[in-house]
Amino acid sequence: MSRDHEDLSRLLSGELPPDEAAALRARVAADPALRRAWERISGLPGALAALPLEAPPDTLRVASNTLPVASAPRRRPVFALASAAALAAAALLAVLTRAPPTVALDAGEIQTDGAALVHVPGGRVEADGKIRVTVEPPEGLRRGVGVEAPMKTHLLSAAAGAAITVAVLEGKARFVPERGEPVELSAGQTHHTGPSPAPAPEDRAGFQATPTDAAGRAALEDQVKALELQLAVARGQLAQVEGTQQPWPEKLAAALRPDAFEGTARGVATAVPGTRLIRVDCEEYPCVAFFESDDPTPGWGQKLSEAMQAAVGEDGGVWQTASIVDAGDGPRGLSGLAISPEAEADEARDIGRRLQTRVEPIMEELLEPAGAE
Amino acid sequence: MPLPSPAEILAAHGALVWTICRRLADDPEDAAQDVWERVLRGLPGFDPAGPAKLSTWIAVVAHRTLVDRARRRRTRGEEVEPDELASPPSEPGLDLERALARLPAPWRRVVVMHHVHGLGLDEIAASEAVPVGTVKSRLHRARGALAVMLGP
Repeated sequence: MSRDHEDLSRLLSGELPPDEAAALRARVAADPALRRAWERISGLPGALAALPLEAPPDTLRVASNTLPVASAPRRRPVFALASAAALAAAALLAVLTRAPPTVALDAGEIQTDGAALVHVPGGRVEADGKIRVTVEPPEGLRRGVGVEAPMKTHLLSAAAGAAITVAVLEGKARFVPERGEPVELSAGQTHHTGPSPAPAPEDRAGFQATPTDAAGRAALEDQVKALELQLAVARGQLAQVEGTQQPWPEKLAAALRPDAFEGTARGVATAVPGTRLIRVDCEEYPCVAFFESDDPTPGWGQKLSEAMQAAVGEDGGVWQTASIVDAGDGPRGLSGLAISPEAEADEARDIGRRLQTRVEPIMEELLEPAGAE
Repeated sequence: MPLPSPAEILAAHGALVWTICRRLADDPEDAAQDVWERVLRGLPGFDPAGPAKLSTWIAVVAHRTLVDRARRRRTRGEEVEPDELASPPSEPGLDLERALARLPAPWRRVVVMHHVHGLGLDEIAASEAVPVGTVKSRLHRARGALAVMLGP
């Protein structure tokens, strides 16, 4: 490739100064080789625009009408993607993974269309056809099914017991429990497996007369162990949903340190016209800045994100919430922005969950109309 | 105007995401997975009444995802993305797809996202976190290299 080729590209974009453009055009007219190069370069935009889209391979295809879907509420912050939408995403992404489609379903319902492997708490379903699989986790464990760690949640749910229903609408299925014999199912058949009946509240609370014999004590000890397991599971689940407080990194860009972050955020607000910095939260790592605009133009949130990245450099991962609300007096933009050096995937997800926990109540507070109780 | 459901979006734009990943990522299946994760996470922030079409928004998300993946791999020392051709193209007569595949990844991202998917150069610069001048330079080098490889 010669310098001429690059100049021909600049000529095509109209970026050459007039005198250089005229000189190059004269050379193109006189030089057949240069003329052919010009014809190829000037034909590139059209040829590239005409390249066709390709259908994804079968391993990435999903029968869209069989997926559980949930529309996320529009006002939710970007990283407030818990519960229903995350569940849909978890199933969706799991189906996208590899052939045969494999899903880790911890809660909710999914319907297969063809061969698929559905991992459920306590076993798996080998589906071949239109098979509806429903998982209902025990009460108290229904929060926090996350796209981030479906298999972990799966194990937790299995430990505590979940109700599994496999209904064969078309084709056949095989439910393979982790313990016990597989169950073969054909069209029209349904198989259900549920947790052991929960003890009655008075039993759990110990309101019955305390047994004094050895058998009674053993039963109580079993109940204590079961409750401790449930408690551990619930605590783990809660930590998974809320994320864990992050330590401040030893090496952190000066612009991101608590003593300097407000200045960084003010610079970001200045860089995006019509933007005010309204709050900074450096109680935990990473610091979060909240911005407001009375006239959020299209792409306002993106401009903030770009300005933050520019202020900090390339090594930061940006988390952002962005909400545009209209209480009848015109649109109002609110955005929370945090930035942290790149972390390993698991760590980054934990930071994201923790940010969600931190930012969501602040965003809710800031979204309250002025003067609201 | 309500947003389509995630499944509808996947059905309508699966080819778009796959084609971008196939042309621009070394591991297109994993990359497509990452892109869809980001698309689904970011969907609540997309304004269907705004100026951007959903397909454009998805293309931007895909581009940013691929840039981030390349950056992460660079950070871990797994890959160096040269911003130059290791050697001048010496295989004229290639078809366009093969010629594209021989471009350095940063050049290829620019030329594909600009000419194939219609993103503006400033938008590409923002996603690549480089000045617009760098994007223009990559575009001109890419077009020059393609002209050589497509030649007789």
